[in-house]
Amino acid sequence: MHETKWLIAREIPRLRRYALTLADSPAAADDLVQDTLERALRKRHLWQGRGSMRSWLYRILFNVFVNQKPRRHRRQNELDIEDAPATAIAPTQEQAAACRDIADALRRLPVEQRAAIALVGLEGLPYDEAAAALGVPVGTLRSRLSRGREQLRHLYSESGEIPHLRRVK
Amino acid sequence: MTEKTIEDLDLHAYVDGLLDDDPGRKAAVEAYLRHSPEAMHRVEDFKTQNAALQKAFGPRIADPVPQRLYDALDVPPRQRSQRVALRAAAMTAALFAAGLTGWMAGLGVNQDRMISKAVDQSYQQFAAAPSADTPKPAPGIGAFQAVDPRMATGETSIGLHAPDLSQAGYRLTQERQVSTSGTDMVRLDYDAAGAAGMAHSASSTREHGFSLFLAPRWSPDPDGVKAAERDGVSIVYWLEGPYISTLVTRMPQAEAERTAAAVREAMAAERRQPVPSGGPAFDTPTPPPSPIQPSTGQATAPAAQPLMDAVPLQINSESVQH
Repeated sequence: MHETKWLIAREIPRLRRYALTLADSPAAADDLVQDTLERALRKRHLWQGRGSMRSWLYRILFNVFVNQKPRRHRRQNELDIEDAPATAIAPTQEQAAACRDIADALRRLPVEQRAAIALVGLEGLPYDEAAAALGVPVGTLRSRLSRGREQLRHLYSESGEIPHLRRVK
Repeated sequence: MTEKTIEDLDLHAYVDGLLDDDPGRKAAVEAYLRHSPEAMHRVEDFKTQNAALQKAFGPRIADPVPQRLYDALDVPPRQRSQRVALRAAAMTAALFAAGLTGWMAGLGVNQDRMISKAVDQSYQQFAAAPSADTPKPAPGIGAFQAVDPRMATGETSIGLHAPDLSQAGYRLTQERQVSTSGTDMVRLDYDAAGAAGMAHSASSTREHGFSLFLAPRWSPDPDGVKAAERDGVSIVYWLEGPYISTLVTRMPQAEAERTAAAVREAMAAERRQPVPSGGPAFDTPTPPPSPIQPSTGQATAPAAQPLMDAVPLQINSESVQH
């Protein structure tokens, strides 16, 4: 028990950083992490020392976030990630306004794509671990990563210039 | 390996440094990129994204961790269970109180900031316009609907009930929606005339009446009663159910706290009342059946009258997200 708690506590800074990419504010991110920690402690018997503690915690955090997120928001912005044609999630002209702030641009992505990019591009997880953390096959992770990064190309411009609009498909 | 075998996944893996341990494939990708300007452009953009992410979020890992997160690991399982039970009980009570529609606890709320804003603006509203002197004809229990604008589809609403304080010697004189700089609330003015037999006059109303401000909140955890005083105005506020309740009055502090206790008791009684029909609804933009008939303003239940008919309570997104 003590060892498990120690292992979990060591991951709190990373969990907070990951949560920041998902939640709307630092306070909400910390609430999300707290809920994650409490859930991890209750479900610690499910980990049993198998696999990466970090990936397991990332997975709990993502599930907590998705389950607590208001349904309407998911319905509006975050469905049909896998099935919808690319044009359906291509940014609108308004959305395509340049974002100097990568965090702002990231928040405009559907949460599944946001999480995939954060886990790989920020947290540095290998694809198999990132897929496990999201509870999806590697192929699905690749799809989310690819779609998310393509959208970010439209949404984010380091120079602040309005990015060249490309036809997605 | 030929260039034709290079897939999209290879490009992403190259960007993410996952080919560093596979020099052969990494070399193949680089060869492919040399002959494909479009792919090279994409890869450069992806690298820019990763660098920007690291720049924006990377240093955050060194942020000091709030103690409450470490404390979350130290709470004995039994206490956690009790807390969950309390939270569930509060949620259930609030859902019953909602009556018309329902209330859903949300995330991303800085509750302390919301409380501070609610108290400040309650005081400012009270100072700018003290309690109404003219009793509202036939006041009584009522309800209105508050719609969280974050729920853009109107799926989730908050129902609020004005407490019946006739047993405590207060009667409702006025109700209105107030909105200032980011926090929208409902204001209920009570005077001290009525069941307690207190003399009713404009001056007594100002001295013994009070205003109750109700603002929605998005966390189900209850909190204790707190009191403050500003320029001779007594303020008592507390968190129960889906509301931040603030009582503002010119009564002495001790009397204000006694009155607040009566208000809390009345509000608790309201919450204990069964849902009229249909129960809380989360997925309908229209209110379910209730004793209130908004269109006519007539109540089918003897003690119920509408205060407002489905008044949308605009909640500033900043106030609930930071």
